[in-house]
Amino acid sequence: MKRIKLVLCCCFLSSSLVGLDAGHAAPCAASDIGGPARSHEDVIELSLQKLADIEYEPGDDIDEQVLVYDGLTIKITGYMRTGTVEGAKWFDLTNDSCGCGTSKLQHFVRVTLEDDTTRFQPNELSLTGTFSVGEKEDEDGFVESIYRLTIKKLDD
Amino acid sequence: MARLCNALLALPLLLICAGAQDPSQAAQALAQGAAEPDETAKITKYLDLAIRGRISVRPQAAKRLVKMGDAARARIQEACGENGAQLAELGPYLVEVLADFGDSELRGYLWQGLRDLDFPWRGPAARSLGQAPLEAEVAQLLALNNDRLDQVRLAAIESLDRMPPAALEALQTQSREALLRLVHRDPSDRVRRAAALRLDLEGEHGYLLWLVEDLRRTDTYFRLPLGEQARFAANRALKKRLGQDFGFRAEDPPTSESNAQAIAQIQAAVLARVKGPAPQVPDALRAAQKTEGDLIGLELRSCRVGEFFLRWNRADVLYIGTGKGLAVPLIPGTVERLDGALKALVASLGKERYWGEVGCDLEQLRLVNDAGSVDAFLISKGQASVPDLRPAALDRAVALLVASIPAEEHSELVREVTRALEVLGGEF
Repeated sequence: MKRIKLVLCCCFLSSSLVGLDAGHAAPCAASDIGGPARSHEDVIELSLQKLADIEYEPGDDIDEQVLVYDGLTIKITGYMRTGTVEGAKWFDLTNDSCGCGTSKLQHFVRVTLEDDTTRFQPNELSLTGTFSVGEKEDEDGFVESIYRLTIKKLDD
Repeated sequence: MARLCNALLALPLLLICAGAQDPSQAAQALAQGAAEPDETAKITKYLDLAIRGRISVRPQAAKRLVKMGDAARARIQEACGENGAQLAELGPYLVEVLADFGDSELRGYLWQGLRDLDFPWRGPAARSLGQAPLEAEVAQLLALNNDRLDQVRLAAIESLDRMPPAALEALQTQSREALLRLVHRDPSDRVRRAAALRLDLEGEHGYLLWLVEDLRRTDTYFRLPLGEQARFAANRALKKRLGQDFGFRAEDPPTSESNAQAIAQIQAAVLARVKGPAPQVPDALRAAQKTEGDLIGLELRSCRVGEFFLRWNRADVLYIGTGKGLAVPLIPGTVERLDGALKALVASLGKERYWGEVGCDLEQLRLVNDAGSVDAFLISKGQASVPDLRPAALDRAVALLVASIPAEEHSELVREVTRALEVLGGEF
């Protein structure tokens, strides 16, 4: 853990110094800690199982095995959680339509739609977008999500 | 910050009320007077969030209430209604933390809920009680290993690790019998893994071979990667017990060169811990592999009547359960006829694919379309029954599916599936 923190920190500092964005910083972190080979343009396939495979409670450090994907373009498949509000700008992607047991923050990805709104569909979704990892809190200090994906729109 | 603002706003009023003469008196009045309404407001807010907030926030709000202690406990007791009659209204996340308040009355409500087979949060209630089992409850908790809900059986097994050792020792024979039965016969892979891990803790290390077998799974339920999920779960647990994962990567196929090598090393590490002959993984529990040709799926999940996974394969086989499941041969031509009939029925539904509202009861019909992808038709609901939730076309579809199960050999299954369907979407 110490090692990744050091590497990420160094990469962040170096990218800040040269004015790069987080997306450019991430490949540096990945290669240094033995994560998946990738560059800024690569699309990396990631599974919800892999993301769920960490031990995490709000306030914990997030495991390096998922931190390495922060800022990268990923492709991920899953299901829209039942109860997704129609016409919203976001929804939660879970490993099955049931979403059973997905109240754990490591068990879902919050998907933000840049140019679209939600319409519930029970079929499997395959999404590609920019992934981010880290605690995001609401106004009451509750962690809303640790995994987020920003995509343009949902395919019909 | 909000609390500070409220406190500052309340300061003049408090100074008047307390008749404060000096700053220290004022501060004391502020501390005593401002805390209470603030706390009450917080309890109200967290209660609401734990019951109706965003799913990700609910468990956190419930835990905050536990941290608030007595004041929150009193409000929750009130919300439970007379004799705990309103317990179900608290929802699964509050029910799951109820025992953490350390209150015997709330604990009693949890047992009451567990005994009521119509109580929708029996799994969370069992997990709550199993977090810190009381000596007097050990036998009752252990007996839950026979429950029809896998969540409850799982909670019973996992609570063994936390039971007072002396009380558990008195039940060693029953406990061992239950673990052996579950590890060999439970339909849920999660329960089998938990039983195997408990047996390992009791010195019977050979049962870790059940988890090694899970590392080899590649099965799916249509697109649901159940085998991959099992690989992740087994790998995580084995790593904790063996101290390393030997380079196994659960996201990769078990047949990859590095994974095959890792599995061999893991197996050898398990066997090295076994004194005497190792138990044999039964054939029925050998690693399930992905099957081709599944055309129709019926997935039923109910927080009251349990879970059923059925698949009709084009080879005229009905698979019951997940993993290897039970393969039931059907009369030749059955699945093709069913597939045609179901496709004609769902065509009448237009683009509609979802009926109901979010809840712990879910029914999903899957049909593989001509392009090879899966069309899903989903019904879900909460704890209240919703008559006629299922549209008529799906009523007819599920009736055809149930009728195709060989009733003479599988009368129990037909009865259970029929009941689950009635609970989920009404009579059909």
